[in-house]
Amino acid sequence: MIFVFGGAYSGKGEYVKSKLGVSEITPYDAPYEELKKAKAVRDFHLFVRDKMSKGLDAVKETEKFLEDDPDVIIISNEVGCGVVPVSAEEREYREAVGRIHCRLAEKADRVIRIVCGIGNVIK
Amino acid sequence: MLVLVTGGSGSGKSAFAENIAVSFGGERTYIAAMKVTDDESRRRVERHREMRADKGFVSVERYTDIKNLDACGTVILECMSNLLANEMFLPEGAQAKGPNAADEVIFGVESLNKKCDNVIVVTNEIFSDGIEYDEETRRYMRALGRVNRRAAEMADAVYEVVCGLGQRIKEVNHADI
Repeated sequence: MIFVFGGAYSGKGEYVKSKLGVSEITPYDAPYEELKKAKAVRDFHLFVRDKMSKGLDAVKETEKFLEDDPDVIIISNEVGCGVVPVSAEEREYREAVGRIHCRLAEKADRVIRIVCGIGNVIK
Repeated sequence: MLVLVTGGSGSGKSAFAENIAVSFGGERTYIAAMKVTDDESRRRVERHREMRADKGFVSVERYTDIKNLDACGTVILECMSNLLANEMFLPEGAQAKGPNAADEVIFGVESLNKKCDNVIVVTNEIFSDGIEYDEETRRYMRALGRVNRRAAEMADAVYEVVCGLGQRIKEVNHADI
């Protein structure tokens, strides 16, 4: 598994296509049968948000997905570098994304951080 | 030589960029893109002027249309995120006249890079706070993301500044897999 993350509009998808040779990136909200077969999934932070909004355990859902698609490339937005939000729901969301990113980084064979379209392998 | 310097607000990216310019030697021009509209921006501009007072820059205030600016030697463009906002939102900006504001900024950087020996472009990392902004703000973020990526692609070196320390993210450590 490869984990690719960075700020919004930093060129993560472009990087995955050009440097990791993936022609098609599956959106996080594609039907699960499709997601399981995906080479790369984008907007994984929204996968987390979506699961939470449905009252599901986002960590468990992530683990389940990784079992079903162990060699996937996961693309996600860094969302934790701002002021702590006033709303409890937003706080939980950002905390959950951060924790799940840590977990993904731990499991990944390679972690790539994108800034201005440039990838740096940090693991 | 084109150098792109990025970082969060208050990360020390301006001082870092100025020191790079000084290290190149020769004639130095500072292109200031921030328009003074209130006390806050006035204070900000004054702080930056003091910071570079002894570094031998000739300052030029230029808020739009960088591509037609006469420049040579070593120049700093401070900063690209302000310039883009000007091109998008000022009445004299590119967007008001029709052309794409992001392209206008990119052409500006390309043109400086042709005319000058060394160009140091300062930009801004505003993309990692996880907030879902209104469409107008998202449009600006999308445009800045594109400008940043294009500038980084053209650049000979890209630095990300954290706590005043510049990390070279291109070419050294470049994940060229």
